Amino acid sequence: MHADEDIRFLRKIKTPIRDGDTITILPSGVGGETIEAAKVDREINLKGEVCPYTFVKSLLTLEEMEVGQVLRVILDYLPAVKNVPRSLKNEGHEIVEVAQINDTDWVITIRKLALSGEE
Amino acid sequence: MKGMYLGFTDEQIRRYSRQIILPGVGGKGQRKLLEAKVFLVGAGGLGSPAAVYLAAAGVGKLGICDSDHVDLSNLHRQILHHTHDLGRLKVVSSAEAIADINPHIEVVQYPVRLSSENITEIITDYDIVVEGSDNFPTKYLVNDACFLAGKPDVHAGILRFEGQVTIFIPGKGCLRCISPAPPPPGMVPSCQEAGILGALPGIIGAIQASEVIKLILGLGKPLVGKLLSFDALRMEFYTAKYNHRHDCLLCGNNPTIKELIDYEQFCGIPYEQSQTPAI
Repeated sequence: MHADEDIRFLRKIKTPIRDGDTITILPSGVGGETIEAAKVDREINLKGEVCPYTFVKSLLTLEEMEVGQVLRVILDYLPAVKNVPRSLKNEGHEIVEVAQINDTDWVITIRKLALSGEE
Repeated sequence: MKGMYLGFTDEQIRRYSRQIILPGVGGKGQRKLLEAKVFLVGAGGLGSPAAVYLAAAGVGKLGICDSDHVDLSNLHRQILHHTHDLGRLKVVSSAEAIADINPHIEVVQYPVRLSSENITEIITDYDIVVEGSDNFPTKYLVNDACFLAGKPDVHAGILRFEGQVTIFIPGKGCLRCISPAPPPPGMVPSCQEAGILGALPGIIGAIQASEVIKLILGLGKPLVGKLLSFDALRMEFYTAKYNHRHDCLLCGNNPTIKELIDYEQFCGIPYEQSQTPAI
């Protein structure tokens, strides 16, 4: 499946995060507007990994990317689904989407904005 | 930064994960640590915790200088060395202990006594010097050599229940700005005479390691122009500011010290008798 199609597909089945989580899932497209699918520049599969490796690996991958590029992270550890977007947002990145793609797996889409401490 | 490649192994990411996630560190900071080269003067009370934490943090190259052998009386405070190391060169037991903590960093052993003849050449290879010797002649030698070579000197001294730490950055104050010359031999007791609380160098040496890591990462405010003192009996820290003296014999406007001095030779006293405080 092409990356763009994949993203659109994910948006259709997007599931909100539960347990009172405050992550902003969709910064754009409020109220069911049409959302431009993000072009994914890089993807990492972190299934089977737990915190804090999930966040550190995501952070390091973003450091290797350019501002404006989009990273997609696949996770199957629920605490990481909450923690990784929150931590990356704190680092100044844009969380484009958090979505569940099947019974066990989640995908987080992040746009690199800037990294704290970056020259 | 197109094409920039941080190139961490999976093991490195896991090993340093709690450090990489710190604000202001990240992959770039960890890379700086891995590329840093730090020289430790002394593998004793101060050098032990400093070396352990610098190695654990992933400082890529550690030079360790100590000509002594491990003695039973060292072990109540010098945590790099163990009972089975008795009689061995401290640089050897240090290198082994460090390799157990972090086998991925380079350790260079210098089983020599520093002097005006060798110090400049040795520290050329390093970015930062950690001073943890047990005597004033070495502390002044390191101070002068670091100033002349343009290297930061992360200085410390300990005795009984008290310790001190500061950083001498060339041009921003040096040991001679605080005290122009070493005290006369015998004026200050050695820790052999006065005793030392074993945990004290653990605290002070760990502060030295923290300051080194901050310098490498460019984080926070280093202890420059400030002498941090610690009193373990009161369990209090206090800080005294000192100025870069324009009339300093070494780093002032009209310096008279332009070459390194070996004080034990200058004093005409055997090294053992000229030993003074600290460590």
